[in-house]
Amino acid sequence: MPRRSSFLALAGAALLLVACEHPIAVVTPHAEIADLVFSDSASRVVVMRTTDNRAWSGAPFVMCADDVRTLVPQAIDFRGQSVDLVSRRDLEIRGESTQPNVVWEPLRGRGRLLALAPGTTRVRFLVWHLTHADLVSPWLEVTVLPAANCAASR
Amino acid sequence: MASQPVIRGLTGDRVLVLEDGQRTGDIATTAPDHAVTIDPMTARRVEIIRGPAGLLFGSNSLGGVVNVVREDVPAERVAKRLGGVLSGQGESVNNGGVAHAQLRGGVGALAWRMRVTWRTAGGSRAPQGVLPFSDVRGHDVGAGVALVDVATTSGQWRLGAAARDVISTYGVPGSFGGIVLPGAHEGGVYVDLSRRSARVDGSWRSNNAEVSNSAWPRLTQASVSTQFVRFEQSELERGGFVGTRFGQLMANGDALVQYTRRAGVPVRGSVGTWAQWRDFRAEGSFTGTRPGVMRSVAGFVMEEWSLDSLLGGGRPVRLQWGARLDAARIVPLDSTETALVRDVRTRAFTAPTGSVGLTVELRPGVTVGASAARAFRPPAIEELFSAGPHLGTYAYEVGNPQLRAERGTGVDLFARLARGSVRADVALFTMQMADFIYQRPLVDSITGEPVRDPRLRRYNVYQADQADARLHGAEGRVEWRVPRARGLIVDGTVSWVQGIQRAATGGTDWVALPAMPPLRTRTQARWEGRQWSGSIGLEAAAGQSRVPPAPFTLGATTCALEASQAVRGDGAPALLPAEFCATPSWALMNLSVGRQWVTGTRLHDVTMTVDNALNADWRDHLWRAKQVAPQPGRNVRVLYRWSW
Repeated sequence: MPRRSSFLALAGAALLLVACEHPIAVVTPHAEIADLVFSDSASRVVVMRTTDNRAWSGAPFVMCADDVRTLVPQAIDFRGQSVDLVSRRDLEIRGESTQPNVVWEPLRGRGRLLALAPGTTRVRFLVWHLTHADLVSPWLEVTVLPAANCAASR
Repeated sequence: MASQPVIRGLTGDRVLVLEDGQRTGDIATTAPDHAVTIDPMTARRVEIIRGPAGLLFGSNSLGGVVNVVREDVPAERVAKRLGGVLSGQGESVNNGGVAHAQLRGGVGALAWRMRVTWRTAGGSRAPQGVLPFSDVRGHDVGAGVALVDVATTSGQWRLGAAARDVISTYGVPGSFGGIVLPGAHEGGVYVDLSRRSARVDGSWRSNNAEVSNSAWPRLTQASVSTQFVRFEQSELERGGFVGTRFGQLMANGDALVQYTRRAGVPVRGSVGTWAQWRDFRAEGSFTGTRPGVMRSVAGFVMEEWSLDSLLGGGRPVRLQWGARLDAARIVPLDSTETALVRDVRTRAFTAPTGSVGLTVELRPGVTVGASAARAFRPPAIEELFSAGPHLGTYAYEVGNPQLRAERGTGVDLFARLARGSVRADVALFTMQMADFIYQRPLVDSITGEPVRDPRLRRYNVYQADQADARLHGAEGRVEWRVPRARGLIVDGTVSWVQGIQRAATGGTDWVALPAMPPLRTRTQARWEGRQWSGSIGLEAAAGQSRVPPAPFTLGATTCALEASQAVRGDGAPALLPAEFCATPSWALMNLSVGRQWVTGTRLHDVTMTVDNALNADWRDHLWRAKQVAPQPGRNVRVLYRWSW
């Protein structure tokens, strides 16, 4: 009987704790991001960037089938300063594409854009903050050429 | 959806909505699309408190205090071991239904009560068609238990507790007939809310309620009430994607002592203290609203002096006065600045408030009175630290961490007549508000277009701002029990309010306050027989053309659009927001018939009402979607109640 009372007391305490937990339990600083810049991981050359998060600058993004581009994303806040995406472990750059032939693979401080099959698709990036997006980029048009065409041009 | 009470042109945080004397712990006062989490089916009665007595509940009660009495914690003994009420209601305008069950019982001093209410409704039907995303469903479950009227040598005490769970999902309409409001989602927005609360109440009542003959106060009653609320609200876009999510924990409590004393004349008074802790947080896509904790504490006193000897003849003369001191401290949990909200920091506010009122019975049945009040309202966390899209209001809301506390002074003059078969009330009021907080739409100074949000360029941006404001108006009510027509009663009410505020451009210009109700009347003839009852009524409102001038010169300049004009490729807002649009007058006819009968110990009650019997097309001036969507058409409601 004492064991049952203890169990009931514990269950009651657990229920009370759940009821008292804040619906939004974790508060981390909001990232007020204005723009995204992607650089090539090897050369550090800027490959593409947004302007006022309204449009992507630069030429259309072209890849070859089976190519993998490793990119280093940089988030720029409303003051024009860089947000450290490596130390901010609550932030992650996620990608969404309209077709499955291009996939974004997020890694710590960088990411890989995988061109799986030829075709044209649209990709956008989200600065994901634990449970929600602090920024959603405009759509970026990505063209994936057949591997044979790329080999010929090389 | 205009679910919040509007009293004398004031709404939101300026009208205190209480449930059994305590704040509801929801976020209904912060935006017009946030629902009040009180189901009218569960209310035993609704009290409107004005004047010095309002200071017992809050410092910001210039509009009034609305106290919905549910008695979740039983307040009186129950003679039966088991009793209850079962009721059901169906309505035609939205194919909706409500089922409500209440069980109560008790043994000796122990009393208990359980309530379950379930509600569902489809889209609301207007004369022109069904309003999309106006459906609602939810439940309200609660239980309470108390030891009541336990006798001791000094008096009687009561101790009880109650818990409650409210869940609701409702749509926020933003389009009708192919026209979409600026910033509204074509795919609709749904709000999911959940409120869980628990409270403990205790009170003691003296056996001696007579007025003391001593200058020293003698206690007549004491009470303590505490409450804890967990509230969560998600605003969902098409596909169930969470756009904005709000969460809040709130704990509050008050202690009140009532006493009598003699200061040359008999005096009854109350003195007490109140404290509240509120932790508000928001998150969602593009939401930069800063979470914050608000701690408030107050002390108050209110007395009523019986000055009957002043006039002689035993005619009542009552002087009421009250004073209150409030202190509030708001601490942001995240001080990160955003593009539009800078200097996010802790704010503290302290202010004394007071009220005094005098009522005099000039002659039997004729009472006149006056009251004056000084009110204070610190800005809410949302008004200070918001930064993000608000799907339900079609706006991108930006706080202002520099806001000062709002202060108001109000004066009321009133007269009451109760002679023979006539009862009448009339009141005149005026209110001067300093630093009245309102949402100001931002305008691009170069193009004259509405400023749109920095991320999606979809929503008009509103920023909390302040300006002095003045409101004045009148209310009247008359009831006449027609002689020699047993049970026939004719009554009518009328209310009128005008509000102005100093123009945002500065200077000496004043403009109309937005969302001021128009002149409104209600007249009804009803017959109340032993078994049968019936009524016919007319409800009408004048047109409201006193709206603030629109600040935009481009981009949004019209209040009416044809469907073909509404499509804009860039998603730019085209319609003016509702607060800048006038509303035409309207009139509705309402009918009802009811019958009640008894079988054994059981009481049956059936009522059929027809609202808007003529299926009139009408627009509520306070509705934010009024430019595109009409209000509900003819609605036939049938309510059956079985109590035992």
